[in-house]
Amino acid sequence: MAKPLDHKTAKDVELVAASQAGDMVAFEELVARHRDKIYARAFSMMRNEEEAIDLAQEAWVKAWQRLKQFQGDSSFATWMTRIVINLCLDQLRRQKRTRAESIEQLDEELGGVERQMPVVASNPTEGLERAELRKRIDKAMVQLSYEHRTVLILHEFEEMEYKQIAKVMNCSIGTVMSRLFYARRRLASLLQSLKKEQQS
Amino acid sequence: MRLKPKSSRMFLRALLILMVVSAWGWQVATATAAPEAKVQAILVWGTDEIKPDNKSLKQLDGKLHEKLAKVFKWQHYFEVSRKSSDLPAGKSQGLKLSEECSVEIKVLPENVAEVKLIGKGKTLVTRRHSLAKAEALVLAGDDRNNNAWFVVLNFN
Amino acid sequence: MNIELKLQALVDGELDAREVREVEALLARDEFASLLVQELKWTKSAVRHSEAGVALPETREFFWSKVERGIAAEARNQAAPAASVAPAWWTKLLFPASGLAAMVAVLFVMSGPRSSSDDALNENVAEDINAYSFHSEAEKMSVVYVSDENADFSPVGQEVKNETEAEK
Repeated sequence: MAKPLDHKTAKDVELVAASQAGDMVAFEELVARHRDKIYARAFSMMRNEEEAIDLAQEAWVKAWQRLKQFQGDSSFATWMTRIVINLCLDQLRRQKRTRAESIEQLDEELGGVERQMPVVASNPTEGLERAELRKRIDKAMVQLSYEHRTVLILHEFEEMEYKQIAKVMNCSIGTVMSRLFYARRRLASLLQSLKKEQQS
Repeated sequence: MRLKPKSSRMFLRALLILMVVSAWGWQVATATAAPEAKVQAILVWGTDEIKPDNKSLKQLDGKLHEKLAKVFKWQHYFEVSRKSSDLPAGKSQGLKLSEECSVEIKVLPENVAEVKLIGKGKTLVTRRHSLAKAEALVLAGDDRNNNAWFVVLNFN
Repeated sequence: MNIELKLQALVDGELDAREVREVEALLARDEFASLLVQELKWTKSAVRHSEAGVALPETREFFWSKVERGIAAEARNQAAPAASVAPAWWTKLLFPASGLAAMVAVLFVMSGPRSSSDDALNENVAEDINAYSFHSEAEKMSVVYVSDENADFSPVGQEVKNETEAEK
């Protein structure tokens, strides 16, 4: 007779298999294990606590419905992260359609601005405590458009390659590269301004 | 023996009356069988701000503060008002907690309390709560500016 | 691909061996390109090390109750259209079935008071209200949380909270 599953000590793969067979307790354990990571990803993309909570919740509901499609090609955490990223992107696209574009965003879309920016020769984040670094990057990230922020998140946090980002964001590899380049250059410039502000 | 049509009608009427009386008798019997209880209702305001300069707010007692802080995300909990009452069996008891908020509680026969949260004169939530276990019932919700309110009901 | 993007691709390890040699040769003779690569490198590293360990600001029970409710709602939504296209043959059984159900209901009512259990607990909420309920075994409390984006109902008076007009 098969041993009953101890949900607390079971591995993710075992919990996924049990959830696929309809075990809600196993699924709850998966939610408990990965809920912070999924929320953190939603928050990094949305920059809004309420929206991030709602989207994280929606991602878990979607995951339950699509569990049968999970083949184990990647880890469960990676699969879940993809779901929440797609939901966030859908939401951000909807929001973009309903609000007027700022002049800065139009500049970004036209491209070329990033080439005019002077190179930030010395690293303005050097010697910063981790908490202070987070604070400053956070402040700078808010000022990027969602497309630029998302490429950075997918590349640096999710460690995706250009072609994977292009697939997720439904654009060309060239667009991914331009967006990433602009996002990094703008971030460098914003971080330098923040350092100057701090010093003055 | 076959009944004549008239006596058949009379028999059906008698049966109907008997059923109505039985149902009424059952209701009365179960209503009187409902246990009595006591309730304490506390209206609490949860916020992340430091204590506002207001004398009508007081710090929530430590134990309840700790309980709420373990379940909810807010850092500060203040007591807005507190009411206690006996709950006569089968009768609805209203407790007014603020200008716009009251609760109505009725102890039902199955050792269950039916709690109605009334806001601006409208019943917002009706919840049945078992009195068998010594557990609190908390009716809560979003307030403006990312704050929250809580109606904590303790029965004994 | 323009040269700036090639420099970035070098930083990200997205170039093949031949392209790497080409770009490195350029770096050796072009100071601006070299400075730009430095900037791209520290920006990449700063972002990579800045991911905050943000935690979901809701308890396990509360969050799970919302997920569980969402799953149940989706299941109902999916079941509804399926029911509407169900074959008509069973509808013939509706009448006798409803009679049977009525009889069962009468028997149930006449059987006297039921014992109370957690399963018997239930709640009703006003139509325009979105509420979640959950139970915390550890803190011994049952919670019904009314989620109200506009916070139209506030039992705590403004005079208590010292709200300014602008905050309302």
